[in-house]
Amino acid sequence: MSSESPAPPAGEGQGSRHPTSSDGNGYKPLLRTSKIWSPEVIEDIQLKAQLGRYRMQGFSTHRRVPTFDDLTFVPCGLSRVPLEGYRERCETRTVLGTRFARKPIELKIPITITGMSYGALSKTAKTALGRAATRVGTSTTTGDGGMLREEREASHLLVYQVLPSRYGFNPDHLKAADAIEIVIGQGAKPGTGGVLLGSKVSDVIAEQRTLPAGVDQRSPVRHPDFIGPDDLQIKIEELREATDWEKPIYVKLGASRAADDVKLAVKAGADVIVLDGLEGATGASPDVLLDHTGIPTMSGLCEAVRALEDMKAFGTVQLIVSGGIKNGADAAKALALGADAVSIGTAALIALNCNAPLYIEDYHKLGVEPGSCHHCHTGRCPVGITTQDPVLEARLELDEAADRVFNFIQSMTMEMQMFARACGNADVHHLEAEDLRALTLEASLITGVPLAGTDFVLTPQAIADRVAAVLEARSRRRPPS
Amino acid sequence: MASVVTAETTVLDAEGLSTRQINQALKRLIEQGATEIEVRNPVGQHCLAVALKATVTLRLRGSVGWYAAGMNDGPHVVIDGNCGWGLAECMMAGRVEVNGHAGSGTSVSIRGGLVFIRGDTGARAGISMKGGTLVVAGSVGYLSGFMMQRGTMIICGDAAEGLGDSMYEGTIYVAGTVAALGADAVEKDLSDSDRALLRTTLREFTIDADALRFKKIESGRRLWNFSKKEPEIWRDAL
Repeated sequence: MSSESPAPPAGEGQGSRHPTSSDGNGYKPLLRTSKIWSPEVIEDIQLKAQLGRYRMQGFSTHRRVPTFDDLTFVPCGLSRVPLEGYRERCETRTVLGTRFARKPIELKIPITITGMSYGALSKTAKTALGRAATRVGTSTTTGDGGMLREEREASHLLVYQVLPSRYGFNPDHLKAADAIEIVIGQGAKPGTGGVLLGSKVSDVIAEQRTLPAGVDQRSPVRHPDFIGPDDLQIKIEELREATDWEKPIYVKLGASRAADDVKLAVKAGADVIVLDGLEGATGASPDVLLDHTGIPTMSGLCEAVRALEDMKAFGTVQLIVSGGIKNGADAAKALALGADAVSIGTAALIALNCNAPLYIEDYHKLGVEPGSCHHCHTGRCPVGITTQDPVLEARLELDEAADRVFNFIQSMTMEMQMFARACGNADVHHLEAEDLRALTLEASLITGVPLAGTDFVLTPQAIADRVAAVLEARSRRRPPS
Repeated sequence: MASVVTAETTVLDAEGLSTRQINQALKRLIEQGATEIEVRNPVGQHCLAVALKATVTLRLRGSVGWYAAGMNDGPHVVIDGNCGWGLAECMMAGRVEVNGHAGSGTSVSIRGGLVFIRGDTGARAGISMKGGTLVVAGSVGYLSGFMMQRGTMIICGDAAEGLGDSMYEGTIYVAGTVAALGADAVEKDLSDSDRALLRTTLREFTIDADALRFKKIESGRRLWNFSKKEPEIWRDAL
């Protein structure tokens, strides 16, 4: 190019100018950021060019998916009579496992704490969750790695997970549990097993899981002794025989082909289905699985309910949904759509202190800020929750942590009760889809709840009927020629 | 319910009994102090003699279904027949002997004790073993020893594809042909103590095999931690 050539227009040929630079007149040029090759995509490619493998992260997907926020309650007015919102009794009692188990689980509230392993979480975190669950009258759940003694002692009601890895599996613990949960999959990464990177496989965790310390543990996804639904039926019988048919058997599914999976789990003899949606979190996962596998919790719930109804098992087989449940509104909407209970994981960890603005310098060491940390997989949790480092773990004060989780679950429960009362229900389990309206077309299509402002759901037939009605009305308005 | 005590052995005739009834009867007999129990006519029922924690010898006269002797902690179980999937799965301690063939998933995830199969086993024998010993006088199916964590497998016949795939630790001995080793499973030299262990085991179970013919398979430990310097093995493994 000769020196006489005209300069190319800003942003072309020369690349974007630095965002803080100006043209001398205080004008900052717009960055022409590609929507395809966005800064996030560029960073992702360049990081993987260094790593030579998929990326790992904790927490859950960063994607926006249809959620319970896309629904709203339509409380009472003149057409229905509400209960006094702050005063009248509103029942929250929840019973799970009534189908075959001799001793169903009775909870005071329809909110449980989901399975998270000792290994992914510190002992203090597990114990705090157990204490909080006991105080609030609900259950907590073990995880990959087996039952922790402190967790059993702290938890009045403890669900024992039977996972593909069988890390730490012990028949004595099975018998000591209050319910058994056979894990087929999880919402964060259905179809793939768990991960615990070497930084968290301490000597204690390694011994509990019978692994070499420091190994990058990648759990199997298939159970060692059964594969399909017919096998599962016999496996469930074995677990019932082992526990004298006392304990409810849950089957946990990652929400993917939810309708078919739920039907097969019902046929196999499950007492309770736990359906974990795409928003479900994890201690560690390849990020592509978090973002690109499974279906949202709300979608899975609706499929599951239809499947239970098809099997004439709705109300007989209880349904728990999990994945992204963050407050009483989510929980109440889940119940309105047909769930018997919800399960929380990340929300409970956040109540413990996850992402709290403490020890900020340690967030910075991870390259994140409080409020955006998703580095559970590193074992360097600044607030002592997802770590096996005793120095970090000591930052989580047990009693205070348990108090916070108790308070949070209490608040969720009260929020649920407010929605129920406002909709005229004296029991949160009486909430129904009729109490809801959709705020988006997609939520309406997923849930079968009418879009707010309409009285119909946008099915092909409804569209045809609507168009016919509009044409008919127009033809009646048209003056005779 | 027919249970007959002859000398020191209590006989339970399972003819016409359900799985539930058989298991309840076994637990009751053990609680009453029986130390030797013989179950006749198990007729291939699933889930027999599971999650027992006792010092008792239990002989099942005939073939049994899936998950026989699963999750036990202590009992010595002898099965005079064949058995289905998941034999002795997650056993903590004790001994299980099968005078016949075993299905898939034999002795998966056991943490202790010994399982002996006089015949062959199906696929995925000894997956995720966390301790204990599995001895197979015959051959094993594909993916046996997958993700084995600890313990010992002694295979006196052949092994199908994928033997010892992704095993963390533990040792597999094979006398016959190995169709293909799994990812990161490598052959090691037999030591004197390996040969001594094999001779003792072969003698104990009266197996006609030469201890010197066995190959020893262990983890190559290249999958323990990710390394971008070895992309081939990780691509295959994952």
